[in-house]
Amino acid sequence: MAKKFNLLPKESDNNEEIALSLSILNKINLFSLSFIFIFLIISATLYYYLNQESKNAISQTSELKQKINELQSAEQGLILSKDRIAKIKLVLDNRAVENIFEKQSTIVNNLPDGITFRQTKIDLTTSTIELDATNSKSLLTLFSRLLDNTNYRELIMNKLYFNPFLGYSISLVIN
Amino acid sequence: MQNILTIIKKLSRSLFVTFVFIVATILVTFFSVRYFLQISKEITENKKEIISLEERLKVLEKSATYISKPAATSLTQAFPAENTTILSLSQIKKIAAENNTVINNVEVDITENITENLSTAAIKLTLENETINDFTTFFTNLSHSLPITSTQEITFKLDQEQIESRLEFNVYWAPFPATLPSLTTPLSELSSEEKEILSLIDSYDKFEQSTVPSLSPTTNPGRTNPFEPIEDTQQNIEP
Repeated sequence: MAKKFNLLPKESDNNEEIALSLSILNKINLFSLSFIFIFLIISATLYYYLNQESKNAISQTSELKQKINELQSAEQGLILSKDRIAKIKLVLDNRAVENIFEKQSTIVNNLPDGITFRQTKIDLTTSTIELDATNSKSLLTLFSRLLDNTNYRELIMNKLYFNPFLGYSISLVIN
Repeated sequence: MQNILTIIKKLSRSLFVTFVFIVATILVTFFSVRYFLQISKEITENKKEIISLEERLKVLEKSATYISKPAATSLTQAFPAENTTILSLSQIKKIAAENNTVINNVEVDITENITENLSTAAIKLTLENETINDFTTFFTNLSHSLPITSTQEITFKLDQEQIESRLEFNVYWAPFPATLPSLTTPLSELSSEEKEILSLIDSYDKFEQSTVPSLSPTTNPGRTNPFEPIEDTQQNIEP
């Protein structure tokens, strides 16, 4: 019966495993090297591209800043105008007396015959106008004109006097 | 034995090279990515800045067309930086003269009252007019003149064929803005409401700004240099 003999030295068994390990390590090294190489190429391209982009952005920014600086007087004008307009708006919004005065002027300018103006008082809280009427017919005409006008937020007759010699005297609150 | 040593040498060399490559790969990747992220962030920020600057430039180019010098002058006349009491009184006097209005009394409360960053002073007037129309025109012209005012109280009555009235109103002023906003702060153009106010104020009656004529220096024939010390003539007088 044939018998198998291993005439090789015992170390050669280990050598195969070592050779395998060495080849794996070499492959890893090769892969890493290629990865680094490819990565460096990509990085260089990307670096060049981003650097150009950055340079372009910086030059564009400085160009725009220069243009804006050239328009500094327009900028000052705009800032000043905005500031003044905001303040003017605050004042115009508080011009209640002027608005009421316009309403009262319309009444006084369109008084029917027989009605005369006596006095008026307008402030930020109240607005009254006092009128005299010689007869009730002119009073009626006045009221119908007032009621036809839709400009008033509030129209109150707070006084009505009658004197047989002087006629009627009325006081109106207008807002 | 020597064979084993050779193998260990080969293995360790190969392992060392692998280790170096792996570390190099990690380091290169880390620093490159970090650099690219940083530069990308910078580019994004720059692009954002470019967009805001372009918008600002557009706004400024547009505003230069509708904020003319006379319009800006009207705004500064409407709301000056200094106390406007004297200017307002001068306007009142001018408007009164144009509308048959007699100013009987003027009271000025110069106590500066600051509300909502606006300085105010109060002016009280007692007036006389022949007709209601005169008073109405006077008041309308006053409220459509610069510097801007706001009336607090009006009382007027018909007294023996004359209109006697009492007016109380405020005048305003506020310091001009001292600084411009930074370039990156968004800047908007005037809104339609602001443009309306601008054209309204531009239509108001402006005050004439007086100009001082340029003075030419006078010559003094007696003394070539007027700042030279005067000679003491008393030194020569003997007792």
